[in-house]
Amino acid sequence: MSKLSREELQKIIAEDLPGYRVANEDEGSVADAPVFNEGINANAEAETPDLSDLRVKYLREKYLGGGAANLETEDAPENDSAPEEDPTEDEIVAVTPDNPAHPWDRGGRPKATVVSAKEKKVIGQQG
Amino acid sequence: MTPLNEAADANDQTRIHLLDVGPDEYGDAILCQFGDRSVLIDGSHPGDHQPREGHPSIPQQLATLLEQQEPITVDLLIITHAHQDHIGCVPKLVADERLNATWALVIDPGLGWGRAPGEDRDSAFAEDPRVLTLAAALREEPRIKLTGEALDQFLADALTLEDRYNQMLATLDQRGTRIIRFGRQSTQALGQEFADIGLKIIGPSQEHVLNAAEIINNLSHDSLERAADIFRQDNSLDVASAYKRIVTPDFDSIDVVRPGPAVNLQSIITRFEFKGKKYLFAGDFQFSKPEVNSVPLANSVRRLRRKVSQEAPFAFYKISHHASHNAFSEEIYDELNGTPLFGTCAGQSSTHHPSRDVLNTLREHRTEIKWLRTDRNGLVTLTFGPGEPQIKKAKGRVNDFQPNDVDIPVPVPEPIPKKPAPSPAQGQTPKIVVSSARGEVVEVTAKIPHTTTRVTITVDVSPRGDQQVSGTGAATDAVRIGGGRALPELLFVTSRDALVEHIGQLETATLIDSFHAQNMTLFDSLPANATRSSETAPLVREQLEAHPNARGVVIVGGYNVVPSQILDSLPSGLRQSLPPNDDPDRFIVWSDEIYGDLDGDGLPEIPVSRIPDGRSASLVYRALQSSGPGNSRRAGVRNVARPFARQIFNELPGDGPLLVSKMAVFNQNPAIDLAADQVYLMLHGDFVDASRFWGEGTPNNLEAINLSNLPDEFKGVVFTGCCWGALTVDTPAGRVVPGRSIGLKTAESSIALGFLARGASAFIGCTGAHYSPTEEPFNYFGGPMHRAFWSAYNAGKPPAQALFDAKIDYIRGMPHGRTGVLQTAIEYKILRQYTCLGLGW
Repeated sequence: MSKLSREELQKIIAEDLPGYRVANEDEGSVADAPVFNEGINANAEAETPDLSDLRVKYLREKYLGGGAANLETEDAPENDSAPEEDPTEDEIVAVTPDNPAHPWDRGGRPKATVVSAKEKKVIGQQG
Repeated sequence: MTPLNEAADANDQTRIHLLDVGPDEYGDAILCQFGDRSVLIDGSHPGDHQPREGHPSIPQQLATLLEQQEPITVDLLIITHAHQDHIGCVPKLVADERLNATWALVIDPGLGWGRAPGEDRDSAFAEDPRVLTLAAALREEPRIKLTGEALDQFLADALTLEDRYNQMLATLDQRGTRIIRFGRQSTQALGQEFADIGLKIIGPSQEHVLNAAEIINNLSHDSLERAADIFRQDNSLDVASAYKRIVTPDFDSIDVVRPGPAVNLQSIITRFEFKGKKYLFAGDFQFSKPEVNSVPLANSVRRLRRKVSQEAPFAFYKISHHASHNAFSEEIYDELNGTPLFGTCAGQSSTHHPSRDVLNTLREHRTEIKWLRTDRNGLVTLTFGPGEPQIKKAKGRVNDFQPNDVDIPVPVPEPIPKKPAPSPAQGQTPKIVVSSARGEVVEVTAKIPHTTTRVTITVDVSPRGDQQVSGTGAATDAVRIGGGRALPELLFVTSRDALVEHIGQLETATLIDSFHAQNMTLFDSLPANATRSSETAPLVREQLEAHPNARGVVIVGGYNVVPSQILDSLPSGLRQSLPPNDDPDRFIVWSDEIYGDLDGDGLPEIPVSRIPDGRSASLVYRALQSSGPGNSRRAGVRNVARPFARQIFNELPGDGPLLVSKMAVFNQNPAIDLAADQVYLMLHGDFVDASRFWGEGTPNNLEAINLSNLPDEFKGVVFTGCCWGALTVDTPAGRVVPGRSIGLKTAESSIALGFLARGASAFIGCTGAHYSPTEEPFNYFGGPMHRAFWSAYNAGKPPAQALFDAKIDYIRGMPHGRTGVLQTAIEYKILRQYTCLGLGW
């Protein structure tokens, strides 16, 4: 599951985001409404094609016109765009202010934070 | 080494001839004979159709080696990429009927020059051929040493190369050559035809060639601007002087900002296998250092190196790019698994090629390899049969590791004199012409001297007074779509019946009458009870087929009028490998892009924008009547913890500050002023309370802005990185529960809708949670999307089109430096969730 222990995450958050802490499970995730967890994309009407397909589609259309052949299919190249497998994957964790505002204050809700397990630091934030 | 058995059957032999490519720098031309099959790879320099300075011409060499009289015929002609020193003299030889080919495998000219059909890149500079010539020369290999007539000839050849290349293809086509345009056409038939000599095209893939074409396109624009600038600074310069000022000895160090490396990276990589031996040729492919600012291309180069390595060892490996440091290295040597024989092509006056680094690498392995180079060996012939290869060379010695750049005098560039910019009074004066005043628009043309100047144009237009349209009894021009501007052909779509329920019977009728009166294309027959886009999108696609000139789709009404699509922003493979995470949307977002899908693949071909009704006819009317913004004033507010937004805001035109919250709060004095043409908001948002956006660190968590900060009238464009900023319903897509109704936001509860109700041209934002980069240089997650949108918008694209183009730009760069599973997933989400609210045109 988690690549970093809660203590490690807490340390990184305290260092990089003073005034915030990792949200407790009983505080919920960044979601406060019940999330439709059963088969998360069961509701989705469509999914997104691979990046390689996206790239070829839009550049092919621009330079070769809509009817041009997709040579990738016949050439069957490896997927250039596949994400790198990294055993030290990053994590998105919910953080919440040390001193939360009034529960009705939506601005003080927990927020997602991207922590690099490899670099042991915050590399991105929700919002 | 054992000499080749002379009795061996010539049909079992392979002969690789690295042709003498003459006195110039660079240049590639290789004739391969596999038994009785002949392959010519590249055509040296343009002038090598004739003997020069003691070097035999290319046709002379071909005729001798192939034992043919002119016209010479080869079985296969390969032009690896669109550089002058590879296309060389082939166009001339073909035009003069001195060279024919049965088959030709050539880089596609449109891709090689990065030309998108319909894009008129050059016309703005057509009046000054110096600009076009200089830009054409800048895409070639830098010719630092050239002077005088030789430089003039190089420049003239650069300018005409594209035309001569296209003419060459047309002539070959007329003569019956079977041409395969690489990147555009399948190579399968070619592979079958030359299966007997083991032709295998290792790459690059079509995706790779297209990515390179896009870079060539962008950098060619930059080259034109750069060329125009130098003549703007000094109009007395000739092209040769301008070239020498730009192309200085350290020119290679700025390779990343010129098209050359991307052109090289389109080089066709071919492997031949004959009688159990393999041979590899790769034009100018930069295997070692791609020198392009593109993660996808860099990944592709790595992949191609792996593919080449899997084929190794080779009987002969032509070191690409004239043995440049960006083509070969110790690491690549190791990947070639004991390949024993190397060679490269370069003209006699080559200076920096072969590079010292490459020569040192080869020298390190001198006991294991043999190495030939045409700059010092002239014509080289390598003969492969049952025994050891036989090496013939016109001059010099095998394994010459001496660099050419010893004691080379390099011309010192002249300093560019600074001249004061002439004022309009010194030259031409602005000329304004009213060219048309018919119909809905007044067309004004302004011709302004192309100097550093500022001209203010004010045009007062009075109504014609004859615009009332009769026929319905209602005020049919009550809603002036686009404020009366000329708009491109757009397809407006809605469900009339559903809209009636949301904004009223009379209001809907007025609206629809207005569309008809103004000859807008409207499809208002979507079913009123549709709940999923899969029910409505096919109907819109039918309309798009009937209106092929539509440049965009504008949805009129909220999600309960025209359903939005619940979209998994991730590909299935990526979702399966996604670790547990706290993304608040589970990477599921609302998207309207399905309504721009023309070909049924679920992805848009044209931009889509939406005017959500918010249960208010007034909102819909105001948004539709948007007359389009100017660009004289900017405004913005960012979260103090989002420094990346400062860089982006600074690139916006106009004056106006970027306020920072924590310091800025909604009720501050002086009040936050958002009355601007371009508004940029990088704050926290929320999917329940959309009436305010927050910064961080404010006392009592006060919001940065709320609805009270919106000006009464607003004509501008808003772009936000706020979470759920463009969510117009109360439920994020990932939280939709089947059977549970979805509530609509209104202009009184949503900043996005509030802006539209005040007349905003567009509100661009996310339907889910947004992610910001926090590490410099902030070029990942939301950062590149923000920059790409504003860049496209300020280049003159309407907001909907600018977002569409920004997404394509974003796709090209994905993943932006950070390539892990979760990071890639975040960028997919950024890509798919951004949406354009408002008219957008």
